[in-house]
Amino acid sequence: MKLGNPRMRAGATIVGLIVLIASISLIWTPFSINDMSGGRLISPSWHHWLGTDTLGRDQLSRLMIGSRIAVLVGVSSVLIGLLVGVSIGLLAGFAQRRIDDLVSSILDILIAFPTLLLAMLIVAARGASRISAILAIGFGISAVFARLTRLLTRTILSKDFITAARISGTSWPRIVLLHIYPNIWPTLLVAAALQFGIAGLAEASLSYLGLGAPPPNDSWGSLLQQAQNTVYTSPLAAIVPGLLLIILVVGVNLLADGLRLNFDPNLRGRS
Amino acid sequence: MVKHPLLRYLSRRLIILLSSFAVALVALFVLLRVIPGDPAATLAPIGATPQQIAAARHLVGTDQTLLSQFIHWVSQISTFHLGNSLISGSPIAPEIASRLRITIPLTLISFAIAILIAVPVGYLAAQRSSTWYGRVLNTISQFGIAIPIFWVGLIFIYSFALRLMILPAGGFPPNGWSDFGGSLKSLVLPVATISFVMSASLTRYVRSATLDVLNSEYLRTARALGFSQRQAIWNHGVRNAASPIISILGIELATTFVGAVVVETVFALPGLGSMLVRAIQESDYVSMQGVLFVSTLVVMMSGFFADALQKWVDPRLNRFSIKSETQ
Repeated sequence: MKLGNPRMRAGATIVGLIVLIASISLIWTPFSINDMSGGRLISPSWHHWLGTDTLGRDQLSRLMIGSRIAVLVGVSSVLIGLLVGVSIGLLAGFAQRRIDDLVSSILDILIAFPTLLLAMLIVAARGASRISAILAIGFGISAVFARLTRLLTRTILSKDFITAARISGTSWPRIVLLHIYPNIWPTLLVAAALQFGIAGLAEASLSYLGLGAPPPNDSWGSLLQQAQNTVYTSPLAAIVPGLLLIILVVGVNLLADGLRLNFDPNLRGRS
Repeated sequence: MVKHPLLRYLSRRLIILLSSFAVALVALFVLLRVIPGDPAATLAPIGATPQQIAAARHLVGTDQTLLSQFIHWVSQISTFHLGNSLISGSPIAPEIASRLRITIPLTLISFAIAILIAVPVGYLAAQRSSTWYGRVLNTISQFGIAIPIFWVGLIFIYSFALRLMILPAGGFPPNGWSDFGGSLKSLVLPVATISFVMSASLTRYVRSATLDVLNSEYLRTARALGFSQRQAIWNHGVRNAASPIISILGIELATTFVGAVVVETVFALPGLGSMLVRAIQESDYVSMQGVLFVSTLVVMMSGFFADALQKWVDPRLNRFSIKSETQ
């Protein structure tokens, strides 16, 4: 029996491969990240599959280290975002008008600091580090989850089946469990995948702007920033990190799409 | 008492806008005061005497209590004077104004182009979702949403500026918009970069909103009642599809605005974004505060207009309106 659908399998394969590369980089890379013996900016060869950078470091090894950072930052910031966001969203969705308005205004403010802006603010306050980036991106995307959860909850709560459930004596916690949760999680899952992509892109942007994690553990974003000055002579160094980021985000999106097709009864058989 | 439900909604939303803006001011102020290190130390020379540091503190105003600093800042804002840069000493309001002359056109032109691309493409992708044509469109937008914006800029620089040499690789004419042709020329690649990335993510939203409508039961009912597909979509579909798209647009405009931060760095444009990056690198908190204040203002306004538009398109969203005006 084959699991799921083609999209889910394709997505799982891509994400799995990148996680595999990231795990391998924990114990082995072709060259040490501090090994500058390769000669400056040499083209791809049997020895250095993707060439070297301006300091003579092996590009493939640097890209492998970068994949580790991409996966780590993506997963941890989405988890933080979901935890914070869904709790706030449910609270606002169920609350009285005054509390809802208050929470919504706070969400408006948080969204007024888009992920990247908030990240820059926190980086300025805490200093550039991986933890700053994860926290900043996590809190930044939590507002999106919260607003989505609130909107979905409100829409569902205005439906007749909720009135029916209330009349038949269902408690609010059971309504969340039986009616809200099954109705919102596919959307949240898709949002989580999209936010994983946005988190990865935000981290890359931070690093590109020079506000990410300090060297030598460069992320794909800082590799791109370093490659910009030499893009004319060695375009490959600028192309590959971007492609890897795209592949990762597409993989996660495919996975989410596949999961949604698999589990949402409304979409079943529609494809 | 205002009778019209939309006006009543708007006045309530305006109160929310103003109060949340007040909260944002406080939050911005507090967050920037969390920054470790004394802003005055940036100003004083290295190895300054305590007297010099005290003088610098007095100049910056950090020798006052937080409350009086805050009051001072808010009273400055109300006169559109945002303080003086810690690094250059010159007032930042004129600098922000001149930088907005690049960032705002860059944002609005890119956003408009992105919408013009995304609405028809997203609609077609949904309409033809079961054909190869729809699948190709969907696949392209799947990839588009995953592309890092600065990478697109880099590729554009490599191909159009360095290889084909038909457009500048970056920078802006030194005399600004008075060199209109040159200004437009240096905005072509940045606009292309932003609208390319933004249209991909908007296309996905348009596609999924359209699919929801096309698969809805009310559309099937309308068809069963004898409306043609076109009539059914026009009478019942458009409003339903527009509502979620508009609410997304409010957020996406803000994203576009902030996306300009990165793109301005890629293309070395002297816009608001590069000012913010520089302010963070130089720990110039007055400039940071000023730029973030203006960004907050822009973003909150776009949210307000998106909400107003959404309410107008889909009156059901107001819990307190007794009846909607169209049936």
